[in-house]
Amino acid sequence: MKRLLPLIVGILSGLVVLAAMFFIPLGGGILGVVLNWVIVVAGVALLVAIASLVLTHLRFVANGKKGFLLSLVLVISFLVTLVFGLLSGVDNPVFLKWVGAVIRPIETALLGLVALVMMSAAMKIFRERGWSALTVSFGVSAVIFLVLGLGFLQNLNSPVLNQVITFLEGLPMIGARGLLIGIGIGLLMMAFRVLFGMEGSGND
Amino acid sequence: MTEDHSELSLCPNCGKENLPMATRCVHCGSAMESLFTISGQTQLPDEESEDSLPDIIEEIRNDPALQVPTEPEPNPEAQPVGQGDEPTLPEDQMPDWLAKVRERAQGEEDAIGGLVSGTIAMDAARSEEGTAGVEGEFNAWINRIREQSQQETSARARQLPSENEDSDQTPEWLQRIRALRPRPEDEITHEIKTTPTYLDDLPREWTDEALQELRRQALEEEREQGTEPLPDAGLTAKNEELPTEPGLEEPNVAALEEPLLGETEFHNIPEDEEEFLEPVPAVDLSLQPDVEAEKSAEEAVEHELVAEEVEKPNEVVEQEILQQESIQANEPIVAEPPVEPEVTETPKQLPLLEEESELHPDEPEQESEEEEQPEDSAAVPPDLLLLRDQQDRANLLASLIEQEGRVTAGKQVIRKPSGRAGRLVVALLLLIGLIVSILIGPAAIPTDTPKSLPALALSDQIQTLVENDKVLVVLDYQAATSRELESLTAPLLAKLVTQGAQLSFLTTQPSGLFLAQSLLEQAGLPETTPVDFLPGSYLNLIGWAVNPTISATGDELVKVKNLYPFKLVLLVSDSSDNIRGWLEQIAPWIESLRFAAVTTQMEAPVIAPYFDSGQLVGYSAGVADGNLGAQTSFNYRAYRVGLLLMLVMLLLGMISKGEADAIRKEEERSE
Repeated sequence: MKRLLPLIVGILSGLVVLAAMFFIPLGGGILGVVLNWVIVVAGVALLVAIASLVLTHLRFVANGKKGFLLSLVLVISFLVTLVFGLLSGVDNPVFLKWVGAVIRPIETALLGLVALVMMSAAMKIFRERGWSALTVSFGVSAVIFLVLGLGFLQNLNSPVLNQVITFLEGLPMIGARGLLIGIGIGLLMMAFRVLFGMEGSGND
Repeated sequence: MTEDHSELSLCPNCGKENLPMATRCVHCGSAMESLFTISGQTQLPDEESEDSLPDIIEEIRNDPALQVPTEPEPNPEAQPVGQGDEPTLPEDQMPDWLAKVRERAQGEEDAIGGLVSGTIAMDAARSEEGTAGVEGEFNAWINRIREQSQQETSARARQLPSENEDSDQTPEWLQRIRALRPRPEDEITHEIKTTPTYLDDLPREWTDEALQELRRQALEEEREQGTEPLPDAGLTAKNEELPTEPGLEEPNVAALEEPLLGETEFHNIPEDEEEFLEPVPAVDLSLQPDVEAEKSAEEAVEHELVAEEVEKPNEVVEQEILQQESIQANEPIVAEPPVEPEVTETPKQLPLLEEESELHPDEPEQESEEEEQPEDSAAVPPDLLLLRDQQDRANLLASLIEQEGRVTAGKQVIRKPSGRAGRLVVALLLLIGLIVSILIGPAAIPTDTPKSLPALALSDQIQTLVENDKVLVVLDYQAATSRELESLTAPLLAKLVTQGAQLSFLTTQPSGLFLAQSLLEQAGLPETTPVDFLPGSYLNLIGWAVNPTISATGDELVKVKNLYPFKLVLLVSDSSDNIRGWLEQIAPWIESLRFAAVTTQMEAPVIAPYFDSGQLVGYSAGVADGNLGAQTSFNYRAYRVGLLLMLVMLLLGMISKGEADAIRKEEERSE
């Protein structure tokens, strides 16, 4: 029963949404209600995740675990933001500027580090993986598109070169199409597995 | 017949075991009679055998048959053989065979035979004569030897007083030396402890004890010979080249024999060789008045000895000695420096040497070996010859001992360069270049830079908008990509504003609220522009998009949720999934709604198919598509530098891999 109930709920939800999609506009209201449930549940899940995060770090601080100072910073930042947002409101320009002034440089720096890490990985991939079809194709494609990204070749205004560049720039779209088709097929198979009770998520 | 050889015979004297064939005991030297024992015969007591043997001899001698016929003397006590063999046993106890033998012997005159009896008699007579002759000759020979020895002794004693009258004009000291020099038969070996020998088998230095012992021996010999004491003079060495210590006495013959013993008994024990290291007391020549005379005498003796060795005639030798004496009388005598060993230690250095020997017990041995290293290997005893391997090991041991206790550098582990430093330097250089390019200042993209087709399409779509057209701007990005997206979106918003379009802002991210402020600021829009937060993103709009009647029920509802009045939905997103959701979940329900996108260059390839399919009227991705106008917040130079560094790093990775492969192949080839 513990496993069967979630399975039945999942199957019924999928069938209802699918039926609503087929019976529009009659099923539009039902579809909106179901999607709102999904949004509320997702919001509650986000709150639970935030609460779990805060409690975990509070536990770290209480136990004096290694790195508890970082946990303490996290908890303090969370509490200050929460209190400040509840008191001033989420639309307060001062509050938004203050939050933006903290978050924007941090995330930008992290993205810059990602760029450096990827650059180092691009350098190491040949030493670690050796010469293989994957690494060679990666290296060649990376070099080509980096050169194209510099814009020097486009400035030459050569028709032949422009055609070549257009062809080369169209290659990623081919891959993206295949990726999107694969994503669609994967989602379809996942939906069937959920509808027929073959997905193991009900075990949880 | 004899005893079994496996059995040992016992000595009758000491009772110890001996070999069965031994005639004398190996322990006490007494005669062994077991060899002659007859099996089955009972061993008689010694007294009986000793008593019986003379009787038999006496009987044989008294046997008339064996007597010489020329001796007519009758022996009244002589009895016939049969009588002489008269048994002591009574006749009743005598065996029959013995009685018959005796009867026959009495009946026959010569039982042995006439021929044999004559031969035996002749042999007996000859043996008596020979025995007497040998004894006489031996005694005469002994007497002659004794007389000869006495004559020689007396002649030697008489020779000394008459030496000045010698016709050969031999100096007195030379005569005395000759007299002092014992002959081989007169050699009296005295055990004098002398210093060990050197290469030439002669000691280089004499100690005081050795010299005193030498003097004492000379005096004793003189007393024995009954002559007056001779002045100190000695023999040095056989070779003339050997030096002598000035003022030192010469060793006697016994001392000269020591080198010979040294040759045979040579060993490499360092303790014995330490005697070489005994300090020789310095002799002050000025304190000894007879030093010069002794030296001249020594030199003369040396020449004399050499002359004798080469068997020169005495006259020639003596002439040479006289010549040398005359030369030495005219020339000042200079003390010849003694020839020191190869490695010499002064008395001051000896304590240091002893200390070093205590610290390094192996070094003296090596040093002594070095001392004993012959200049001419042919003259060195075989024991002194070292193999090359032994010499090398000795040198190695010496070097190790010398290095003992010294601070030496440990074995340095050869570490292969990990390349971290090089990579760090390269990374720092690249970062420095990038930072410098950023710090120089913003650089706008040249206006003549060619645009991509989606960007051109987006630009055309914006151009088609007229005044009061509603445009929904969906802000769906994070702060990390805000710089890139805002730099692309702000010019578009500014252009829309200039064209009179009505902009509505909607964000699906909590962070979009404060990010919208920055975007509005860059686009020149007022900060009071409303930005609605839509939780759940496009899922929250599916119901409104599917059932447009909901939005038609009242204007009091959120006007943004009613998508039908909008001409264009501009998706500013850094997630291709969100763009795809909008295009796949919302766009199909509203055919009049056009979608355009502003995204990052990383996400552009994913949304490119939607542009190709017409679901997107256009999109702008990346910095290259941002040349829509003056962009003060964008640094195109830094962007190019970043791309260039990425390209360099990628090429460096390829080159380093190729180099590593080449080195590995070279190593494999060399192996």
